[in-house]
Amino acid sequence: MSSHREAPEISKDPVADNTDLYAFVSPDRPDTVTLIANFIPLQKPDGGPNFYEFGDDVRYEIHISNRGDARSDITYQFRFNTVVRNTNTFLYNTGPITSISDPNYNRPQYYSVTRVTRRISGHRSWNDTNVLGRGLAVPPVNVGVRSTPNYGATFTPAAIHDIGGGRKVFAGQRLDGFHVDLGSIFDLGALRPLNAAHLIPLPSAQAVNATAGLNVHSIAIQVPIREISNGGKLPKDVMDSKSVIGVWASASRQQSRVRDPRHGRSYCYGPYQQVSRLGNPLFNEVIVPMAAKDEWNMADPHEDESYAKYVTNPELAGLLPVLYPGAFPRLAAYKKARADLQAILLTGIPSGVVPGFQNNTGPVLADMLRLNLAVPPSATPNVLGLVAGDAAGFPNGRRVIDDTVTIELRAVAGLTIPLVDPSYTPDAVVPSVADGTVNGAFLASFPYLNTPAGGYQSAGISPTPAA
Amino acid sequence: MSTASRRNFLIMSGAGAAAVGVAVAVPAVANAATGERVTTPEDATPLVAHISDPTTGELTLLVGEDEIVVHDPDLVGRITRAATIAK
Repeated sequence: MSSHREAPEISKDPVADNTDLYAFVSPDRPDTVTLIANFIPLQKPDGGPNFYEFGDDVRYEIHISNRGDARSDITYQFRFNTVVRNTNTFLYNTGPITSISDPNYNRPQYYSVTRVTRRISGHRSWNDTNVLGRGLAVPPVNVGVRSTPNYGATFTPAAIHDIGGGRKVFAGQRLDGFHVDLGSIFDLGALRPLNAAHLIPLPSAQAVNATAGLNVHSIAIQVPIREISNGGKLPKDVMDSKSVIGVWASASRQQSRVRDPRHGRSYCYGPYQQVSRLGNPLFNEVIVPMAAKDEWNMADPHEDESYAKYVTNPELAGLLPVLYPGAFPRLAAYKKARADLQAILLTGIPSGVVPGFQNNTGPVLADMLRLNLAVPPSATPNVLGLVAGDAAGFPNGRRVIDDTVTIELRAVAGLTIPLVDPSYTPDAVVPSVADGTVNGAFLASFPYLNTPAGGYQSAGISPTPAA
Repeated sequence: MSTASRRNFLIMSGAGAAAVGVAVAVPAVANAATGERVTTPEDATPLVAHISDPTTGELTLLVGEDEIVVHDPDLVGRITRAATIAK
């Protein structure tokens, strides 16, 4: 998946597990950028009575680098606190919740938003901290038709908070917009539509979206472009290096946790240590080897040089010709370092590769989602983004509609090699490489990700017995 | 963020630590449970002390959201001996 349960340690800590990151110029407010970081993967909507919620002991962050050194120039920090209104009941809600402030909502969460800005003067650098909002309400999860009736209309608008300066913020449960056929792709790299060509062939079949009907917890913030651009300007020149920002998200926990049986709770001590990180989708999941994934999660983007070897010689590119015998002869024969993937994932695409476009952030090798702020939203967006001629889509930032699984599968399979090596012709099968899953519905405005699936409304999961 | 960029990294020698101890108020108070007298600074808060390698004489104190590294072989020795005796 994009980054759901992508590393051994973080898979045991779902509250801090960053699953997806989006960064795009807002299509309905093109003088703003929307940043969305999702956490807590694969939520079954009926997972009560202790439903999913943000961690009071986790510091969630979205970082923006606009100076080209892959260090955070602006960080939005989100801290949560949970209240139990009625301590004498086991119930999440003691009746229907008809508003975000309804007293029947027995376990409301609130959060603060803090902006940390890196200042540099000569050889000195320091951080300015500014609390943008406090006591912001998180909506309840979508329990069901009795507990959270008319969920979308009641809770989504009420949970969008104006925090001044043209900023909006939302934190709460959403339907996971990411789609992938997990059951197939982690069964020895199979793509159901191409089953017949697999090393262990099966009849071709329709894809199964493993995230369909499952929820995540989203932190979304929409800010004026001038707030996060280099020099506080509204970039107009796509070819200007100052038009590009790098974005990543993270979750951090305090270093020590002591469980206190006398009080039935835990206490945390010490500085925050990052435990989850996400820039480009699938980077840690399918590029970084398993033994290095947890270390990668604890590192910063500007420390990514040591992981470049996995980008320029990706394991998956070597596996495809083995798993699909005869389908990728040119990929199998290609022995050069994958400069195309290094550009897409670690530096941004430099000028002269895609006519009229660049999103290069300089020589520092860093996994960041790079967004050229001068590219306006597309009037006719294409889910395949830049490789399909839509420069407003991935890997120029990432929109909620972008089919990043197909884009990255095809890129790894060789589709983007000709961008840097015109002598290479991709294998004929590459344009049909896809897992076959498609988008669900999205909202037309902030927070763009759709209303979460309801517990009562969910059909549950009925696994097919093993053959 | 990396640990190095986050932490409040103070290396204090044993003498330095003692000097700091002199600078703050150290009242003697009676432990409510045991009646024993305990000397602590007025603003003392709960903390975690971590010794990753006793041979270095280094002790890491996790206090609030800070980390303080203390170099005090004598203190490390007393703590590790106490832990050994308690086994």
